This record gives sequence, structure tokens and C-alpha cells, in this order.
Amino acid sequence: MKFTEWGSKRQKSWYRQMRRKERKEYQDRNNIGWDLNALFPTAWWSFQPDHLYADVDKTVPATIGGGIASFDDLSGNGVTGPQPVSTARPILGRVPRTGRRNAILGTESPETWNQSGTGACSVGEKDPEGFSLLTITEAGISSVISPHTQYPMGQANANTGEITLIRSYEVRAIGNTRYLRIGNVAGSVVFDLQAGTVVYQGAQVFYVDILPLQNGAYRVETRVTTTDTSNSGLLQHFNWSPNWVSGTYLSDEDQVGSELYVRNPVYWIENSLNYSDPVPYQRVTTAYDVTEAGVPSVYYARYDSADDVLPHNATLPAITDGTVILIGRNGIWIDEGYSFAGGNWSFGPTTYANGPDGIIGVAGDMLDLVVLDRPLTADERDRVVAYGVKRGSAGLITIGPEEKQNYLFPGAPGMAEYISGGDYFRIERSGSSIGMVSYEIEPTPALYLAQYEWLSGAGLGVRNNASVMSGYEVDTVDPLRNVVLSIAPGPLRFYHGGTPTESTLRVITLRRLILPGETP
Amino acid sequence: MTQIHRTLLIVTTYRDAALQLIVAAAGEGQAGMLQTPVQTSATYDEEGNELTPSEVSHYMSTGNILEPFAALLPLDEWDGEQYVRTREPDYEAIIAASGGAVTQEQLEPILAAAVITTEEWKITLNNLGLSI
Repeated sequence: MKFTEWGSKRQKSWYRQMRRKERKEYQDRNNIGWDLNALFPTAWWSFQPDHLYADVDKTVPATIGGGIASFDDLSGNGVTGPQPVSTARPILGRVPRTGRRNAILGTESPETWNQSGTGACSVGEKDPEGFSLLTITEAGISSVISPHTQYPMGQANANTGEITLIRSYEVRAIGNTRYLRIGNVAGSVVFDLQAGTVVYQGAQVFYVDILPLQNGAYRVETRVTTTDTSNSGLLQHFNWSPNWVSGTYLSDEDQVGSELYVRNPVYWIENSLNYSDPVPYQRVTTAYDVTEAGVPSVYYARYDSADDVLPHNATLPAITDGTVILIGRNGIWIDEGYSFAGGNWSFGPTTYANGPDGIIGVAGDMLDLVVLDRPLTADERDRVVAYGVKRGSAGLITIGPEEKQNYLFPGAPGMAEYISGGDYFRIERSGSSIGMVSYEIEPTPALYLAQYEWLSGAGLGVRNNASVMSGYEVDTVDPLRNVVLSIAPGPLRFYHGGTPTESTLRVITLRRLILPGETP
Repeated sequence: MTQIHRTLLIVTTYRDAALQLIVAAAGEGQAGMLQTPVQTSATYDEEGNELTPSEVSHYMSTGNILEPFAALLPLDEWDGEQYVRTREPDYEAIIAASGGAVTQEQLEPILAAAVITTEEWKITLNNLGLSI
């Protein structure tokens, strides 16, 4: 092909068409330029700061750590549903897209530490080596100084159930100061800073170390694992004294004037016990404000699963064979075949109208919420998942195969039988012993989606393990229970312990919820 | 205006009176507070028979409230065994905020029996042996 021919009008047009086609194919493959409005949703609420408000009239933008009172419906249909009750509003937060891992505070200087407790102390300026001088000015067994006004927060453990808190400081005792107590509600440690030893270690502190440095200084380090989600669980107190009483207590004798040098405090939080994989530290301003340099932030709404509801009584039309999409940090839940009679539609505290109880907690911190009045196509479903992952979700939550066919009756003194004609179980008590239907659940903890209906009976419930009596969940006879159950290893039992002696149960479905990354 | 987290538990018998007070002080928009029932745990014998039933002992609200409003309320802290009141309510300010809708005599038993903490609700309920 000659150059002049290539530059012809026709050739240029053909070339542009090909480029457009290639670009569209690329965009389609990578979901670029696609958003949830391409679905023509009935309503789309996206928890992005530009569309969230701190008041019901939508005049004040929501702030990180504050409640979300109302939001824009990005579908353009104007479906609102503001929440007037301040305590019932989810909280706006942000976290690095990579998730919350190791978090340290933005202020590490002891000069910023706060006093608390019954005693008092002063914080001097740094010496040339960078040590800050702390001096007790008023004696008290609980004369303490608590580092920082804001603490790494236990909210990080929402997914894992526990976190590991690691605190490390360089300290040097001067004068007659000998003992240093570092502690909080998750456990305490007492160091002898003259002998360089640990003289007391609380049971909750699973790792403690004291390493000698130069000029009589030591690096002291504690690690505790806690499920405490409060500030107080992470607050760390300092107390120092010439004398130690016993256990965790220091003596306030001769304590006034005791001095201690401190520098280089390092706090961090780990969501796992694997210390061998260091990752970048993240800055914690508050529980809801975690950032990491160079990593995009994901904004979310955190529902407390107690009383948060948003939207609250949004008006939706009747929906038959529709779709509800929850894009959460933990996973994307797509509820297909969704029906709603029309009227007030609410989201929270644990589910949405006609949704499975507990599903909000499974999906995690919310990124987007969509309602459609029609099913998704396979292609749209793929795009929704790709979009959700791009927004910061872990991926699609899928549903495993039906489990109820393997029902058993082990360990039940009472009797149970399956009435195939009526498609229900008849459960009968034996004397004072409960009757039950039991499903053997695989030997790993997992989430299950259960739909069941007690047709008759009393003293009804679900328990997960025969030896855990506190695991009872007392039910009443009602049309249908649609619930997410968190099942530990052992049988799942539907039990009947009340009067009359016979109950009837219909188990409609029992299927595992498979979170992103879990093995089916 | 600064918001601050509180978990608020009101004894069931005082729920209606507390709601009236909240509405009087904070407006009709807050009438949806105290909607979450909190229960005591049932007890069972070894064979699973219920000995004492669970009952709704409190109603709860948990989340952010405006700081000036929080400053009027009492505050409780867990000392390892029980909740200890570390800050008493500002009765005069609460009565003024309610426009005189309640008297101190009416207010005292409601707040004396209440538990108000800075904790996440799961911690407070766990400390008290309660659940939702």
C-alpha cells in the first residue's frame, strides 16, 4: 500500500472505525467507563462523599466519622429515604483500597501524650537524643499518662474477630526511677529498668520483650491480641515509680519526682498473627479514617447492625423478579428473583425489606446499594462484579448447593421424622427431652443462608452445637425465617423444647454462603 | 457540629417516658430512637429445657449524637465488674432543653437506671450479659 493511498479519506475512516472498535472492546473487557446507571436501576445509592449529607435536607455534606443522614439517588429517579434519627445513621468512613492492615498514629511524639488517672505528670521538651522527659508531679497508684488523644481502633477487627496490637517504646529511667508499668484493659506488663528484666506479665500479653540499648536505655515491646472494639482497649497507660508492690501494681511511695525518658513510640495493629510479612504502615486519624500513602481510599458506610437504617422508608414501586445488589467491602451480594410489594423500603440494621437477616454484616461496609425492577443478564452480572471489585469489594458472594438432604437425628432423645407428603418434619419430645432435626455441617466454620418455617410448636429454636447451651436462638411460629447463620463445626439443630410435645418444621433451603476467597 | 458516639440503654419500663423526653429535647425527628429491644439470656437445664425465659430488659440506641447533647447526659464506665457512673447528668440543662416537659423527679429514676457508655454496643451488652 502506497503512503498516498493510506492517507486517503476512505482509509482514514476505516482506520478510525477500527480504533474505536478496539477501544470499545478494551473498555468492555476492563469495565472502563461503565457504571451502575447502565443498568437503568430503580434506585442507586452510592456511598461516595460527594453524594452524602449530614442532614436530612441535604444541605450539609457528610464528614468522615460522622453520620450519613441522606444521600443522592444516582439513578436519577429521586428515591430518597433520609434518616432523621441521629443514632440510626450509618457512619461514613474511608480505608485504603488494600484494606486495613498495620496502622500507626499520625502523632508519635510523647510531647503530644495526654494525662489521665488520679495522679499527674508533666512532659518536658526533648533532649538532644530525642527523648522526652516525663515527670510524675502528683503521686497515685494510677498516676498514668496515656499516649495520644486518638488511638488505633478496634474497628479494624470487624472482619477477623481479633486484632494484634503491638506497642514499642525506647525508655530510660533516671534518678531513683526503677519500675515501669505499661498497661491497658487488654493486659499489663511491669519492667525493671535497672535490671533490664520483666517482673510482671499479664496473662493477656502474649509477647513481651526488653532489649538493651546504649546509655542505659531499653526498647520495650508488648503484643496483645484482643477482640475489644472500643477505644479503651487500645489506650495504653504509663506509670513509673522507684518501687513495685506486686503483680501489676507500682507503689506511690517516693513516686513524686520520678522521671522517665521516652522516645520513638511505635504502635501498630495487625489483623493476623503473621509477623513475617511486613506491609506499609497506615495512618489512623480516627476509627473511620485510615489512609495509606500512595494507595487510593475507599469510602464506605458502616452499619452498626443494631439500629442503623438508611435509606429509611424510601418509596419504591412494586417489584417482581427484580434484583437487589449490595456492594460491600467483604463481598457483593446479588439477590435475584427479588420481590417487593411496593411502598416503604428500608435498608438496615441487618437486612433490607424481604432480604435475608444478617446479610449486611456479611457484605461488610457498604459501597453501593442498587435496586432493579428486572433480572440481570449474565453480562450485566459480570459487569456489576467487575465494577464492585474496582470500587474496593473483595468479590462476589456465591451460594453453595442445597444442604438439607443430609438431615440426621443424632443425639436427640426426642423423635423426628420427615413427612415427605407434606414436605415437613414432625418433631416430638420424649418426656422432658427436646426433639430435634439435625444437619451435619462441614467441619469448618462457615456462613449459611437458611430459610425455614416453624409451622407449629413452642420452645423452638436453632442451635449449632449440643454442648453450647448459650447458642440457642429462640424462635416463634411465623411465616418464614430468612436468615444468615454463622455455623461453627458441629451439627446445626432445629430443636423443639417446649409444650406441646410436638412441633412441625419446614426447612425450605439451607445453603452455604461462600465469601470471596473461600473454598466452595 | 461535632458528633460523638454513645450507646444508650433505657430500662423497658422507662422507655416511653424517655422517648417523650428525647422528643421534647431534640425534636420530633428523634422519635425513632430506642427502637432496638435488648434481652436477658434465657437459662436452660442440661436437657435443653428452658428454666427462665429471656425478657426485654432495655431498649437501645447506639451511634453518633451531637456533642452538646451528649454533654448533658450521664456517662458510665465499666470497672471490670459493673458500670460505674463517672459523670452525673446535668438535670437543669436537660429540663431546660425539654422546655420544661419533665421535672427532675421524673427524670432522676429514668437516668439512674440508664446505662450510657462511649463503647460499641456489643461491648456494653456483653458486659451486661444482654443481647439483641
